[in-house]
Amino acid sequence: MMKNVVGSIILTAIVAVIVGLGAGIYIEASRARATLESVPASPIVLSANYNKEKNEVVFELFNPGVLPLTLVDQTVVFTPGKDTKEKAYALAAVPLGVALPGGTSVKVHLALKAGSEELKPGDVVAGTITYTHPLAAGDVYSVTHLFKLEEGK
Amino acid sequence: MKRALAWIWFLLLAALLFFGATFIAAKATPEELAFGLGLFGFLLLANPLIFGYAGLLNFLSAVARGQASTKRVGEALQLPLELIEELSAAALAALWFNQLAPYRYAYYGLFLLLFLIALAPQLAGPVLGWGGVLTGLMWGAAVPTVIVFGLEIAAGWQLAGLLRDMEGEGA
Repeated sequence: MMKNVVGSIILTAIVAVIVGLGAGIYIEASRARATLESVPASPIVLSANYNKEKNEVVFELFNPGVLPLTLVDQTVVFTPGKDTKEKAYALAAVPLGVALPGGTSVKVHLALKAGSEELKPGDVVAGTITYTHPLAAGDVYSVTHLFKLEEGK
Repeated sequence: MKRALAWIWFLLLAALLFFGATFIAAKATPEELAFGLGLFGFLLLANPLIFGYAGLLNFLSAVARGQASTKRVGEALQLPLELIEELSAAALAALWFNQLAPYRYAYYGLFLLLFLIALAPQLAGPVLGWGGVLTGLMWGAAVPTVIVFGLEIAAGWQLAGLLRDMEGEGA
């Protein structure tokens, strides 16, 4: 009789530990996901390319979070390299108004100054995209990406 | 007087449970609420099994001490005393154990159904939303299932031991 009691207690304890681990991991995962979903992510620039025909730099912005972001405007700062005659200039706060839902990416076209020469290797274009998120509707955040035209591109 | 006191206790506990549950629900994720629903829903479903096996275990330990009461078994199984007073303790315990078998079958069947409905969609990749909440129900239901499982194998094995002892005596 005693053997049966000990055996059933051990077997039940093993099953209980497995079920407890499973339920605990499940609940913790649900809380972690709820936390992640409530934190706005900063967009990241996946790629930056220069389009020679349209004389613009194209950024691909990705929203790694869950909350939707709104891209407000863009600022382009041009810094000349050695090979170009164009002088440094900035195009500030060009309106964008693009919605960027969580987990998606969008292409942003940063048009260079109208009538300016095409980019030469060594030129640097700093693109600054400002964005807002729904948790702090009045605040504006920004992400800046430096694009340097390399040789042979 | 005793009855009125019991009712006051009951209402107090119900109020405490209500406010506690409201407080928890205000901060809980949908998955945690699903876990609670599964837990309490299956606890209700498991009620006859939990009390049945617990009563049977009490009876078996009383048999081991030599203080078994046939009258208690008659009350628990809702059988007239004249029908069962001739039976041995092992026969009574076996009768009791077998009377719980249909409940056990229904309980495990419903748990298996929930288990399959919750986990089969997960085979195609992690599921959020509805699928995730169903998994929460399943984990909540797994807790009373462990209790039923433990009580069942404890009662079953002790009953088997009792029957084996009787065989030894008979031979």
